[in-house]
Amino acid sequence: MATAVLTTAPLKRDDALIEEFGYDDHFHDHHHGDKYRSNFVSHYVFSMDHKMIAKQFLITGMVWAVIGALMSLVFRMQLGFPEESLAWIKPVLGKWITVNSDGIGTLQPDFYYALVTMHGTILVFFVLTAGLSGTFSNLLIPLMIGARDMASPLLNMLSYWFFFVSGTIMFASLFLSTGPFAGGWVAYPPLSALPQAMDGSGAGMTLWTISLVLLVVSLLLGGINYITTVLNLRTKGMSMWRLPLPIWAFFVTAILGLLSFPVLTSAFFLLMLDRGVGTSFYLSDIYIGGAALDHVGGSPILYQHLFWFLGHPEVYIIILPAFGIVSEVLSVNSRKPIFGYQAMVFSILAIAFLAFIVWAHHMFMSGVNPFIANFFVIFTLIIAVPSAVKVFNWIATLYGGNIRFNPASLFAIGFVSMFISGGLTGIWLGNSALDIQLHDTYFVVAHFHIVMGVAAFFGMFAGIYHWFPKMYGRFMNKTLGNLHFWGTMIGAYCVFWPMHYLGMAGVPRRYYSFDNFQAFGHFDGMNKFITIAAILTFGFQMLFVINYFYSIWKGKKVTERNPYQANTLEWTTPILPGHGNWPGKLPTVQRWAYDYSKDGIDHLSQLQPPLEEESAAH
Amino acid sequence: MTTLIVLFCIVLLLLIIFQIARVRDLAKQLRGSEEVEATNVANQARGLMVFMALLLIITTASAYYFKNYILGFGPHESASVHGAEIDSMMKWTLAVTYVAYILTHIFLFYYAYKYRTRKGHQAQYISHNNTIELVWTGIPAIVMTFLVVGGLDAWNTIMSDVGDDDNYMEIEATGFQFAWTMRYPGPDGLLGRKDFRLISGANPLGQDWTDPKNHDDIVVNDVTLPVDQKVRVRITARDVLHDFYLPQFRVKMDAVPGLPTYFVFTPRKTTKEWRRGLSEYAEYQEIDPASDEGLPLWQTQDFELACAELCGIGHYSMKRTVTIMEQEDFDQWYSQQTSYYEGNVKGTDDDPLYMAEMKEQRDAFTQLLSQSIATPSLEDNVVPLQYVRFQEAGELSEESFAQLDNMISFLEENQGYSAMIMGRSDNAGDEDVTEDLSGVRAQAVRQYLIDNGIDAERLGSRGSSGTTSTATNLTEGGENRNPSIEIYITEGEVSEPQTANLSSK
Repeated sequence: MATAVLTTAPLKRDDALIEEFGYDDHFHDHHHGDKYRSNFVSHYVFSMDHKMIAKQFLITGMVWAVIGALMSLVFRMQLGFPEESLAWIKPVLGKWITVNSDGIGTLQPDFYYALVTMHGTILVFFVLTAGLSGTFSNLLIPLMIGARDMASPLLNMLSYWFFFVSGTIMFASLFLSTGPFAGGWVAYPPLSALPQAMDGSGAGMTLWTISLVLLVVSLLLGGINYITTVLNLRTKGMSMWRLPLPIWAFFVTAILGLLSFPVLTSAFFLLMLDRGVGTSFYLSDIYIGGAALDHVGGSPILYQHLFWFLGHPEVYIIILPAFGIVSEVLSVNSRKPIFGYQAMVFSILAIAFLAFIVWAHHMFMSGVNPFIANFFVIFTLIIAVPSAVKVFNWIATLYGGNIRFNPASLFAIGFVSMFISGGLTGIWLGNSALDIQLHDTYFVVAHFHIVMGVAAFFGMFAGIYHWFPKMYGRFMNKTLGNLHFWGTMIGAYCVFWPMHYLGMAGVPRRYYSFDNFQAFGHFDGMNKFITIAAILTFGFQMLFVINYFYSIWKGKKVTERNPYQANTLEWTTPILPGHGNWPGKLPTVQRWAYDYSKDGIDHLSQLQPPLEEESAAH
Repeated sequence: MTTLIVLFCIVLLLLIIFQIARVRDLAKQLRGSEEVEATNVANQARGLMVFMALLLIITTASAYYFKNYILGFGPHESASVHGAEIDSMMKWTLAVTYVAYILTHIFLFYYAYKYRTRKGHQAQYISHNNTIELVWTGIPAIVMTFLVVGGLDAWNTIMSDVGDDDNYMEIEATGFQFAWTMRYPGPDGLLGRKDFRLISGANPLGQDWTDPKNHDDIVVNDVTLPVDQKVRVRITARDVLHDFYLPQFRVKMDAVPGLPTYFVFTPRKTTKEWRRGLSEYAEYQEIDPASDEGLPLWQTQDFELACAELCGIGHYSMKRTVTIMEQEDFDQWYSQQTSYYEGNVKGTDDDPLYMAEMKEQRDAFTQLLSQSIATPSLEDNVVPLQYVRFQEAGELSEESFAQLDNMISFLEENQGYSAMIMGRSDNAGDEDVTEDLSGVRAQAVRQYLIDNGIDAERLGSRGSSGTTSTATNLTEGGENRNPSIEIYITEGEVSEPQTANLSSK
């Protein structure tokens, strides 16, 4: 395929191309003086600029990630070192740590469950859904498709502030005297519906549902904006088949969210009615707290259907943006086109479609008719096919490349490794026969942490390291970034790989202690190992946080517009694009985003019109 | 204090790492970035190769190391018949995914290493290849087909319910915060009706005692089952979701309030056989630290029942022991159990059958008393207290109180009336029941009524006065036994019936 190196005249510079071919939308005639930068509040707080909103999402997400991770360390201490005194965190956790007469502080079971629940809720909804998608969809969609901003900057701003209020409410629930919700992030009724069942199911659960309903509002405002922007605001020449893969991923993610989150909201509304008004959507035949309840005729399984109708697409909402980011980062850093661009798009679409018809694979052992497993097993295992295609295509993208190693590309490669390791265990869990053994054991914990927790974080890190220069006009420290990568890669495998063995030995998840059972008590050493690995891995994340904030102000300055020699449009803007992104005309697009090393030319920006003697388009 | 020092050390360590990193980046600028970059690329690429080798070796070796704890291997081959299918399905899946895991990782890291950037090296322009795309869509699709077919075949066999002509035994497991209770059907082989509205401290499962199938149902905490016998476990929950989980038997099913679920399985190892199997493995030959007698682990291990669905703060403690026995041992154990009804309910206030009987007695007695007032002929005014019984010394038996209490409420409602309490000699020629004794008995009754608030003026008592009653059968359908006490109701003051032995006609 490689052809002789072209010996044409030097390529024209990006700004010259924009000047020559660009589209003049008279944007700056209408925006005398940047009204978006008029003062501190409208620039940094109630900003309507997509780049600022992206940073707001990212930094809020980072705060949540640190809180959620710290929670996991506390309950990991309980699992790994139950005898160790936790009296020293009593100043922070207060009454949730009880100190006995010997001065040994113990984490109470109710707070253990509160921590587990909050860790799941925070990481799934606030970090990996809102934080990840909110950051990169906002930052990259307008920049990569050649738009001035989102279709509705106002909705975009509201999206962030609903997210913020939702987070504030969730945070406030941590300080209730009865504690935050503690019945697991999936919030299955009757446990979540009855305050008699658990302390956290009282006021904690009320705030939990209110917070998540507001979060859904935020995600829908964001999602509808992303979809509209991608469909309507692509610049001239940017056909759908010329979209960079991250945009495809964000676009499909937004569609998934738009179709599935309302179902979750309806599940929550019915739950609120059961809790507050005395309806019986999810409740029947319950005797609790010394009394038989009046609720008759409902089904707890109905909630599970509604929840997982969101819950399963949700994992793709988390992982699809990472797919897109990793595809882009791998391609740029291999100096090669992404292998099988169309196959990558079709596999995203296939996964998104299948996401809607596999939800009951979370419910094989929940009491649904065993017959329906037949459908759900088939569709679930079919997902392995497009997923495998994606993995093979990423590997093929590396093949024959000229790979640069930087934190972004390392995290992208690490992502592929994590996605393989976590994805393969999905083949176990998707098979209902094996689910009899593995359902609700640590095997599940290992599976989803690797495939949607760690992998999605790797995608996020790859994206942050890669686009940090676009956000702040500076680079992050590369040595620290490399260190962060290696610490996280090794650490994450150390934390989550052993959990497969726990699960295969039958150890159930969500256990405060394993001492009551002979069968689950053989793994003290392993639990200690996991806890230590988790603490160290968390330390490496702190390196990242330090690196991030240090680099905002002190990082090495970006001196050229296109530091990675990439093809996509965001690198044709000024180093720190102002409002409207391009100072003059809008760029027009002449080719797809992946002409790397074509005809011996290192890269051909999407602005470049077809060259003479150029070989056929991909 | 130690905490502060530890925190301080951590912060210091982070700062040191951070400073080193900064210096390295500065040094890079001084030394010429290209040279440093080349070293960095080589280092990272080598690092990835080393990482891959360690990852593949350590993950494989650790799996081998832990194999004797993992269900499906060594000592943990399934203790149930259907579990063997799950174990074999798991091994097939393990083999397939392990090969994929190894191969993809080798290609991923090796390509990353091989195609690292070097001076003068150029990437190839390879945008797509539909043939190869088809191949690697097809291969996973074929492999998945095998796994789907194998898995669903096993699933549908395992999850199918019992048929009409199956020989099986049905038991019921009920989960509640935070324990399990088992119910066995008893000799009739049938579990009785339940209703959650009937649940109380004395009736933890809400069994409906008017359903005779419940009368022989046995309620116990732990699971005891015969080996090689098909069991259908009916799984129910009382408050929130639970999950009936028997790890060694590959049994798991949610317990849902309002929606009974089931799981059918056949144990194939007794607890003893399983322990013998464990004894062959070094992991189970160590001394059990929990054992007072210093027994090895294999001797102290039991099959266990756990909860596998988060149900509240005690979720982790819902343990029961599961014992599998030979059929004969099980039959013996089973025959020694008392049904919950017989042992805890029968004849108490919680027994609706007993309560119905008591109500019937009360109604009949009250009717008799009312009749005696309404038609004050002498004959009708003598009412027998046929449920009043005595201990040897003439004290009232406990069973008497119900009828006496009925009488108290009658006297309270009809303030104008008085009662003469008359003891009687037994008609069966019992020499022990003398006239004296009958007087003592009558006095005991009178005293009981006075103690319970009836004015002494309204009550008289006397012995049998040498009269002997002949057989009367005053209680319709009642026991064929003469009353020891009769009462004579009159309006106004207490008085004797005109004819001493009138009641005997």
